[in-house]
Amino acid sequence: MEEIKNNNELDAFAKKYVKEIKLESPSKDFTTSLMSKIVSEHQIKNVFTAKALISKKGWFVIFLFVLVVIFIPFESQEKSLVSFSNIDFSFFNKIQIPNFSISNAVLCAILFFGLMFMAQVVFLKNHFNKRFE
Amino acid sequence: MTHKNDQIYIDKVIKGDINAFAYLVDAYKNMVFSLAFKMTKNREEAEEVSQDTFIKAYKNINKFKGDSKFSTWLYRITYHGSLDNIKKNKKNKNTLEINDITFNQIKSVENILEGIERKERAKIMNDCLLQLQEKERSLIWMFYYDELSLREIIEITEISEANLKVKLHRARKKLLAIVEKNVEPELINHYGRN
Repeated sequence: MEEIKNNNELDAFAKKYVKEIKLESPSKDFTTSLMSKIVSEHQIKNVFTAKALISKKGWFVIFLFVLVVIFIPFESQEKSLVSFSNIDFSFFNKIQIPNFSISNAVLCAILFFGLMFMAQVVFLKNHFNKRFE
Repeated sequence: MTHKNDQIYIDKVIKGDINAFAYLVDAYKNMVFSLAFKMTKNREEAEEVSQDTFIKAYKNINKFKGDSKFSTWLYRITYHGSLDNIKKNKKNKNTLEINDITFNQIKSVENILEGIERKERAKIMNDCLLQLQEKERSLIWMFYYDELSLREIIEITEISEANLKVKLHRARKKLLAIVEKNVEPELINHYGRN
């Protein structure tokens, strides 16, 4: 009982006197210097943000357009511009590849090199993105 | 600034209006700086922490979902930023033994404080508050000065409710002990005269 009374009294004491403390203010040019920092960081971010020349939406439209041009028949012709059944693929048989062999070790090395190269591209992209975040 | 107004400016910033952020900075800079100063006890460091707080807030403003108040969100960044700053500078912790307090003890300190001019009293209280450990003084500041709810303080500090209540109680007792120690000469005079 006594303890509760003391706690309430202590709570009232803190409430009353802490509230009287003056709020601190930063330096006068705080907002100005902060905003200039933010603006310069914003500009750096804009400079280093890679933007695709053709957006995903753009690529989708181009893809659709190509499909329309190639596969949908024009009204005047009433048939498709490209018909796979008419294309003669027999020239594949005429191509002569010189007979050379690669050892498994070299093939593995080339594949591994390619894999690491791709991994490095992804890693470096993330690294530079983080640096300018 | 109200909760609704904050959201208007936050939306503007998200849309790319950097200048809208200046309104938020002006509205909250004193609040952020005061907490940082109460924790770091150094104006330069508090200013650095405050600047970092606003820069972090600007960069992550699109992550602010509006579930809590913008001020609570800012306070959270300030609190953890100040703790990092203290850790970095490895400041010594001052420990003070606290004994059980009595009703008369509180009343006699209150009587002394009432006899002091308000401006001077505020300065004494500020000096005493700064003598508490950084976590304790930040809790006292948030709870008694900013009048944040326990729920908001839990969100900022990430400590449990039971732990928060214990820490607040201990901080209050320590504050009284420090104030008592600081006004001791007046206390002796006071009882000497009676």
